[in-house]
Amino acid sequence: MRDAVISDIHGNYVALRSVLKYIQKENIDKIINCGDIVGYGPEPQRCVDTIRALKNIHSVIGNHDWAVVGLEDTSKFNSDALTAVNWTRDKLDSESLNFLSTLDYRKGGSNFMFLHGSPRDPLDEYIFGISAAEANFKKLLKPICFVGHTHAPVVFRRNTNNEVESLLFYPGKDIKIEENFRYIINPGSVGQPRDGNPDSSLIIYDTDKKEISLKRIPYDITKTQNLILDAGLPEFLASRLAEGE
Amino acid sequence: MSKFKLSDIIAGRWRVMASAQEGGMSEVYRCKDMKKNSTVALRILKKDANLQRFKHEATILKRLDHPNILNLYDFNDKGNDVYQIEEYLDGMPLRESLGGKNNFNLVKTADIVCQLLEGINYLHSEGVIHQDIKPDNIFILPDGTVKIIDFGLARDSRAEDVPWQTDLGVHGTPQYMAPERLDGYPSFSSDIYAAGLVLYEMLTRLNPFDIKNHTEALKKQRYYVPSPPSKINPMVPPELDRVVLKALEKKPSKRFNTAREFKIRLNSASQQPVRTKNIKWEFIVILILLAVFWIILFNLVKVLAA
Repeated sequence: MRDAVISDIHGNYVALRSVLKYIQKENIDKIINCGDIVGYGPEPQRCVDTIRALKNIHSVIGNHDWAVVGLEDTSKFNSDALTAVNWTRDKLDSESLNFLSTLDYRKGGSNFMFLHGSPRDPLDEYIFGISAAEANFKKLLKPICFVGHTHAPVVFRRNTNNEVESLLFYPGKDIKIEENFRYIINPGSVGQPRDGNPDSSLIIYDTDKKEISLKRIPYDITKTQNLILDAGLPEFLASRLAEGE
Repeated sequence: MSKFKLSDIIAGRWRVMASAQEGGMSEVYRCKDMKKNSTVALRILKKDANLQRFKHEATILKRLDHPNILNLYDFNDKGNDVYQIEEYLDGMPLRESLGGKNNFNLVKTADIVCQLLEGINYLHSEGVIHQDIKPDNIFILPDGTVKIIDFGLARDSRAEDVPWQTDLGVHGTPQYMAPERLDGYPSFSSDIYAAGLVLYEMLTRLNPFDIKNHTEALKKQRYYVPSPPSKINPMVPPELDRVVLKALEKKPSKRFNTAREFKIRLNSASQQPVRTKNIKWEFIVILILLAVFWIILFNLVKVLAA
């Protein structure tokens, strides 16, 4: 079985379309989506419609999705994020809002689980470093946990001595999933990468080979930037896409 | 369309005595056990319903035996029909009586929850976490006996997972789920928390958390502290407030250690006087006595002065 793991689409349909085209060519069995389908980007309705139309996708809710349906405390959102959340809410039809509000915050399979933030705070916590990863390894319900939220691809691994390390992970550097080890894996972001590389990011998880590989997919960034500006969304949301920051 | 009609005989033993009642995944028939000459309920699984869940429920129920737990007599999964033969329950779920306009009765409330806690205590002693304690799953018989029903979500603490829940999704009723259950770490204490919410609802006719789905529950069950029931219903004694709020502590270690301990504290708290109510009556009686005394004194002075 080969699964694609994606996250943080953030209303960037141009990026999502490129990623789905790649997935289609790769003979993928199912897509695991770690949340934040909307927020920031200019085409939330098209993104929700596309996700809903896919047969082989399993999605969880992200903090921006939750904010758009009006239930997340947005006091921690910066002003650009908040502007985008309110704009997105107005652009989505009621069926899409209902779809987002009924997404679960955690799902999983035989040996993995996935959620947006972290096992101990599924919506809001960022796992940037080893200390946050260490604390969250204690809350893992399965050996592998896919997360999103930080928009940066990373793999944390805990060995049998409970030592946690962050592994080098880039396209071409596949990582073997070892028996008895535990993993927290972030595929990066489809619609707003923040690791210095503006290309969309995703992971292919080969369950037979027990291996994960990171893929970066270029898309028409200028097109999304123009759509952001045409929509009257904050300029920074457009400029950051080119930087991958 | 019902599978069986009146007077049909199932497996050569159970005669259908009443037409089917529809449940979510099953149809229930009142039947006569012709071998034992007794009344039973035959719960037959609907086509396309979750067979694994039905089997799992039967496996757990089969080894339980307690007056406050639904009795399972037999289970069949051979042939075309999958069914459970259960104790026939006459009465109504607690949910229905909460919806009515019955007067609040503290003694009755305490009695129902004490029986519920006895049932939970037994389940825990058998290593079973019910995981779906709520008014819909508490059945009240006409003589007042409480029966805990629906073990589809129950977890045998000796097994790693509930076998039919392979998706790791969040299963359960969000309004009654303890914070640790939402994290994926259910414990015996999660049933105590849910029983605390049932008690809260019986005392106030309100669930303290306005929750529509699991994600909302994740926030509210973790962080919202409910107001004491007496703020909503002044008939609730202050000691009972403390009992309810202890059962609803966010951390399992701060709740009652066992359902039995919860029951003992509930029993004692429900026998405490409701101070505000008594003070009001005492105050009125004192006022009347003062008025009578004043009239007597006034007349006496008038007589003496004359």
